Amino acid sequence: MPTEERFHLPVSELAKQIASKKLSPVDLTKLYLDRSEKLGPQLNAYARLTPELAMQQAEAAEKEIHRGHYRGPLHGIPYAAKDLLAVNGIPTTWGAKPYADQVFDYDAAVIDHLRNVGAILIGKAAMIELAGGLGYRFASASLQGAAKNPWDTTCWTCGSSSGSGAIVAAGLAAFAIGTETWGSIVCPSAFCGVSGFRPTFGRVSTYGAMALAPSMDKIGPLARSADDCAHIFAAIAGHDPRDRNTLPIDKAAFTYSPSVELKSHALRIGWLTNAWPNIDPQVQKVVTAAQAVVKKFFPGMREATLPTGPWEEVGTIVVDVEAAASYRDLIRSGKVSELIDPLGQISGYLCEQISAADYLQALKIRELLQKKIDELFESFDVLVAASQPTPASPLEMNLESGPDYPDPLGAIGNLCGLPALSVPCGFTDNHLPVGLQFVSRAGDDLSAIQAAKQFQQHTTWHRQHPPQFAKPA
Amino acid sequence: MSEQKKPAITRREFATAALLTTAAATLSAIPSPAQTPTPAQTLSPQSTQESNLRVSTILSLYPDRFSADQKTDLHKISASTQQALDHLRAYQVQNSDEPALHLKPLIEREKKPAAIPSLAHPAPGANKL
Repeated sequence: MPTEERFHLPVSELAKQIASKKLSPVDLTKLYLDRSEKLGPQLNAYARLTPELAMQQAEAAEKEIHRGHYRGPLHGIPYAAKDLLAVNGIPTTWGAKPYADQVFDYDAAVIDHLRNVGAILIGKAAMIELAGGLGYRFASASLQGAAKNPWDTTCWTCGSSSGSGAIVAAGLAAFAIGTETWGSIVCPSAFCGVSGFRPTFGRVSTYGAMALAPSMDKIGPLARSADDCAHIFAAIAGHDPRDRNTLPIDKAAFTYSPSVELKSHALRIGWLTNAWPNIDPQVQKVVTAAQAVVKKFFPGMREATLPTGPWEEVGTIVVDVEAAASYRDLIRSGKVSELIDPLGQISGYLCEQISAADYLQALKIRELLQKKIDELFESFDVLVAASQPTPASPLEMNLESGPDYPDPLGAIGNLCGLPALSVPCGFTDNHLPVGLQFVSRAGDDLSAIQAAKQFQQHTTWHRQHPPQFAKPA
Repeated sequence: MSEQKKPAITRREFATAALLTTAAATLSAIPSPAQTPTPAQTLSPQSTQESNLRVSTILSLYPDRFSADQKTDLHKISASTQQALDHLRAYQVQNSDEPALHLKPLIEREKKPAAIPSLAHPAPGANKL
């Protein structure tokens, strides 16, 4: 494996250099800003850069560290935040034309947390308009246009955290913050060959984040390793009285130390046999090889099956109804017609027509599903499956014309608030990344992290980078 | 109806497809939406009526907002939504089943009698966080 350029190093290694004063946060911030200015537009990765704020934060971090006040592994580390997280005084567009000039006078809780640990915000990451909350047919459904995959710029990054995936894969920042209601962290992580973590619902405050489906919205990191994701998760997790969906203090907080001995031998791993009823043969080939690696280091691994039921329909109705409520003003005013995507322009009207009785039926089934899944986790600590059944799709593809891929695991994971960590596990013949996801019980985020970290200790997929973006800008 | 000649899929299916699509050539063994019946084709007469009524309501509320193509699109999406609703309604729930109004799995788990889960399998994350 060739030596990695500094901009592709994981947070854990950058942090060591910063802590030992071998690396200046100011220099690192300039490096990422420079790359982001030059390469970001090639990928439609950013909604905007925040160079003034970044340099101000970098200089402050540098001074503190020189005075001996090192705050921890994110101190002096540059990152990007999805453009649905409020940043005081800086436009937060939600990726959508009707909100192109929206400016908040406060910071989202996640932005606050990251500032408090000394991380440096270098820009707002591009995203699918309204995080796909009203649907979309084309990758171009974003104020910045279609986000291009650094592994193959004729392919998409996936959405809705599209810019976050591109930024991390191309080495434009050390990590990025994304959000997921259904697939929006796991899929870009898989398509872009990065590590992405969807935490347990309620562990990270959504205060100051755009609401899509408030009972399913989650915030998490995209980074270069499971270990990095754990560090970032530890910084952003925690109870927040401003977000009534956050778990209580003792359940929301997450502490992490990489020096803690991994107890992977004790983890009960289940290999899911029915996560993807349809799967691309090339992806299957890569995932089968990954399965052998997992089996080697978790010899007790057994097959596991998801319960069957109308989980995707339940997820659809919950998201549709909650999105209709979240964007009610936009729909009723008619400004929804300003959205780019033809589906987004009209589907909200239909979402509004779903009855309360049907919504409550969906929530009743959701409750039953949660019980079934809790029972499944009596036998397993971690469930493993391909993150996606296909590699990245072509940029211009009309998604209406593609084959249908049932996604029971995505529906179940998001309806039940389960944590999931997607890591790279290989490449197709066309050198497009394939992801493997580790899913654990709600609240047991550490098991997913431990299993993914163990996988990465024995593989190097996460240390490979897109050739076109492997060199200095 | 013209919409029956084209694949009609739900917003969820769009989102799923958006997440999951790739070159169809590698997936020739998998039926594409064009090869499978559209939702509108599979609905019962009653469901078709409900689906159409939903669109009529929208058009009566907002008569000037939609082009002819968008009206056709509304019918296609409504049919897919109807299919999801039909599946949802067919799933048996009891009067006493509670809706998941608050998704707090950890708290709910702790409300269970402690002996039941912990005797057989200690909560895996309980001592790790």
